Amino acid sequence: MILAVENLTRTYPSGAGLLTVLDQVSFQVALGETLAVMGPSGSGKTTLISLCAGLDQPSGGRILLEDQDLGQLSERARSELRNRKIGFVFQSFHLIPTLTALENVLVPAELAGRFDQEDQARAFLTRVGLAERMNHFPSQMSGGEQQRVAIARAFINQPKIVFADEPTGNLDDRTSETIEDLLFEMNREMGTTLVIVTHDAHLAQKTHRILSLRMGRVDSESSTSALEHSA
Amino acid sequence: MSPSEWYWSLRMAWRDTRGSRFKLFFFSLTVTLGIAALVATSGFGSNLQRAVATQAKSLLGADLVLSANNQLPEDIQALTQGLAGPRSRWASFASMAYFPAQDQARLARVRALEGEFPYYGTLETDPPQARLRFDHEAAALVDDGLMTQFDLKVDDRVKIGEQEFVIAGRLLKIPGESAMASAVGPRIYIPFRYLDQTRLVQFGSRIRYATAFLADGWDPDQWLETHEKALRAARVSFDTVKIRKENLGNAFENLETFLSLVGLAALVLGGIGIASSVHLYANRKIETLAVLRCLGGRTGLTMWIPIWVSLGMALIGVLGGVLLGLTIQWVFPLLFQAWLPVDLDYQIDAGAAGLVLVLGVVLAGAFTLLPLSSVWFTTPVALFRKGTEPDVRATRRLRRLLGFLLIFCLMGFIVIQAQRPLLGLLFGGGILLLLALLFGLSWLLLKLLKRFRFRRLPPMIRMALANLHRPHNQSALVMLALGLGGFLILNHTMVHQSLIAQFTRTGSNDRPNMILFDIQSDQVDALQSLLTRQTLPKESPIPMVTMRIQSLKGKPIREWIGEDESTQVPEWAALWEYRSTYRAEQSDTEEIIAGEWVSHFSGQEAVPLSLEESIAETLHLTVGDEVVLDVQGVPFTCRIQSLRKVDWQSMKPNFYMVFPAGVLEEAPQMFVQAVQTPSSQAAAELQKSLFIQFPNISSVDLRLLLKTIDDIVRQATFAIRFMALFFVGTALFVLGSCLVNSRQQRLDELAILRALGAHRSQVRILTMSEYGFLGFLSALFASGLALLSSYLITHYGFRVDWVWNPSLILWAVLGSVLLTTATGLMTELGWNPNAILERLRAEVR
Ligand SMILES: Nc1ncnc2c1ncn2[C@@H]1O[C@H](COP(=O)(O)OP(=O)(O)O)[C@@H](O)[C@H]1O
Ligand SMILES: [Mg+2]
Repeated sequence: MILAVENLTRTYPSGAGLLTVLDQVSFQVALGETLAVMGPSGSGKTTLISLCAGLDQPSGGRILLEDQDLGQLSERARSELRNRKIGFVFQSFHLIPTLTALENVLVPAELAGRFDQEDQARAFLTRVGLAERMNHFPSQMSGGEQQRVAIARAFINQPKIVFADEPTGNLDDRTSETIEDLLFEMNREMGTTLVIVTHDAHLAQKTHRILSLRMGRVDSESSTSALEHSA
Repeated sequence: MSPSEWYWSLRMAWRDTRGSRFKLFFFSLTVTLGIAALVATSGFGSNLQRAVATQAKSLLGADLVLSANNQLPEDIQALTQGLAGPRSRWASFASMAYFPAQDQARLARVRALEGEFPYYGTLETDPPQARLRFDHEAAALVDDGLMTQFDLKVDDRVKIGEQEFVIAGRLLKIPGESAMASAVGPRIYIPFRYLDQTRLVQFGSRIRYATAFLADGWDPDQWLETHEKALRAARVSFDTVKIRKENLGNAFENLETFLSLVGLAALVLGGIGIASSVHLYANRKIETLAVLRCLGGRTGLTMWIPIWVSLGMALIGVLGGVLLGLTIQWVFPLLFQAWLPVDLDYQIDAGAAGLVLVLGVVLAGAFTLLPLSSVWFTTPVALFRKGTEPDVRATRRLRRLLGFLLIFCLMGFIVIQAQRPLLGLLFGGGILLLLALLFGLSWLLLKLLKRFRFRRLPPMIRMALANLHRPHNQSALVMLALGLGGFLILNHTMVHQSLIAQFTRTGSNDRPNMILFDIQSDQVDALQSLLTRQTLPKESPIPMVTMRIQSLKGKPIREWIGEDESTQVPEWAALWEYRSTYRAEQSDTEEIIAGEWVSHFSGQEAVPLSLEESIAETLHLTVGDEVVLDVQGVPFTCRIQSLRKVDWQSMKPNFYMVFPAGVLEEAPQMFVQAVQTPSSQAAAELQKSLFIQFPNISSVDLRLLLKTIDDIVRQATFAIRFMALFFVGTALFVLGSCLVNSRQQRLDELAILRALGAHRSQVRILTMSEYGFLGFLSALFASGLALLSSYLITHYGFRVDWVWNPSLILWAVLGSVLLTTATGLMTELGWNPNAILERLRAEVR
């Protein structure tokens, strides 16, 4: 198991009481597996994968990544874990506006202390179809292009697991499709585990399993035909 | 951190400035202006202070003057043996001066002078080189007024004692003489070597001997401290510039304090410049840091990126500021020297520049970390939703720690800059209190704004008001900067006005500058009408009755005479014809130091008498002792009722003995009168008419002495005005650029508004009313606080009357609103439709 989530709970203080956004969520993801997280807006999807990626602190329950309890790690160790083992693709890209595409991709490598990854980064950008845009700044690129840079960035450190939070939520249908394909292809080529949040049932069908959330609880967990294909 | 990580953070910092280098440079400019103000202020301040200090030395004309009723005793001469630097000596005494051409005589104050005195200031004469004739002939310099009165010309003769002198010139300005001497009569200067030829030096004649020193490498006040006892024991009087200055009141100390206060205010101004620009920059970096955290960057590493940028900005700003400040110091005198009453020289204050550099670094660091402090302890997710979640406890603790550190450092800087720890602490404490007040006020106000919806107001204005209390809006910061800056401007302007008022009083304006002596009782009325005819302001005539001492403590005065001053009385004091006055009220130039003032004589056995302290000492008298005075043949038995300390520097007639009302009214008497002459022509005219109508009345023109004081007052006044004006000018610059910086933040939101279809005019109203409102409130806060603090400072700090004018407040509020609305207008002018798109694209990262 690369990821194991046990009785995960997340609450927010709201007015007088507590707002429970995630309630006793448990599931597991195996190495190399792809998982789609689905559910209506506000059901807690972003909250869930942010917690899994160590970007947020749970109110209760445990998250084990490669059998390491995220809650037991120091912030420093968690940072290092995020850097080495986790990739993250945001719905709103979150590229650093003052860096070029190439530099954005290089950031995780440099944070890991590897300063010789430029060729690798160029290769990744070429792979996502941005060979011509290496030195462009985020504000000079379309949303789809920015998200491709974000994907290249998520994979540069060859993570064990990549989380993508509605990576196509801000994009039009045609662009969405190419981005999704890219994400799956990269995932397969690199042998990574992928957890993707999506509204798109068609996209979800491409994953091995679907986890449905409703009001912060696991509504259903089901395997897809894709699992049988790959099996 | 490893070297490669250091390198990485630096490189990221450099990249971080891409696309905003011009903007960041503009931020640095704010720092530059603040620092330039600080450097130039401290430069000009010490410059002016030195100029005024040099000028003040002409009050005495030397660094140290020792004087006694005899030649300096052997042991005291031995003490002064080792003192490096030139010295001069003189003897001064009262004598009749006889003018053979006119066959007229007049009581004059003669000074027999040897040496280069005065060392500070100049003895102004007409012709200018007149004094050179001292070297080779029996020449004399004669009081300007006396020359006019007797219609004397250069090369006329004057006889003093048995020696005749040729008049070499008129005395126009005399540094280093106190008013006491002048009260005896007009001055005549002669060469020291002719003193004996006058045959006026005999046992018992009252001659004052003095030696003046120019200190070459030693501190006269320190020397005095060591030898004061010996000097007192030998009955040698001493005078230094410091003592003279003290006698002029606290005006000089106030000048110094004011100049250092301006320096401190400039320091705070520099601080505002740094803090506001760095804060505005750092605030925008939260998101970048959040992204880096998500990618696995440690805060300890990534935090260096904005710190480097801030430090870079601060360094560029500080260096630019130091350069600009020095340039201002250099160029200003070149341009304006002709109009300045002070010689401004150019000097680099390396200490101040270094201090400023450290200050810049510390402030830049602290104000980068303050807005970014949440990055340390919050999860990346919370960072993306900045402002919606309360800070965790660790963040608050870090912020508090940073705050304390900052306050500590600032206080340190202020104390160093103030050079006087107490002043620094008071100022620092005041600024902190002020910041707290301003912060509290703006917080309260924003809270209130949030409560009300203002439904009646037009939508754009309503939106402007709502904008003020949005989370992560810069209103509080802008208000703080504007409020503090405005406060400093107003406070200093008000304090400066009060100080100017004080200096003007110390100066000779509106003060009597001529004293008329020997007015007969039957001349008083006629003289008053003459003065009224010439429209000269005057004080009421003071009666003067001459008397001699008959006995002291029951022993005839003859038996007291002797040379042992500890038990006996010197001959001059015993045989002196005392000129005493009588009055019911105390004068404002004296102070009772023993006994009690008695205003009326009610017929007791002995007449209550008030004695001046030094004569009391000479006569070995104290409160309760009995004296018999011979008032023109009639003996009066008197009892000493009080001792007075008299301010001899004051330009008013003062007396050794003062009687209460009800004793001497019927005695034969003469009068003295102080008159104010507005110009030397008016003085000359008066002296001419006096000579024709009342030839017996002599006049002393104090203008000669007052001129020295006036020069100093003019320079000090200039110093205060100049520094106040300079400070206000630079403060406006700093505040203006602060505002322009803060508008950058606005542009993003305005772009969205425009994209949503808002009219240009609507947006203009929005920004102008938002900024105008900020300006109005800040000015209001600043005015209220400045009124309060300037009152406290002038009243308790400087001990002068508080002067203020309401129009200043009006101007401040008006100016602030204008400045802010203009900034609001500029915000709107800066972009075109393409820019809107670009802004929006930049928003969607
Ligand atoms: N910081 C927060 N404070 C309060 N409520 C929050 C916070 N973050 C998220 N929520 C709430 O949690 C719920 C789930 O949010 P989210 O995980 O973003 O939903 P999804 O991604 O499924 O649309 C929403 O109702 C949202 O309002
Ligand atoms: Mg979401």
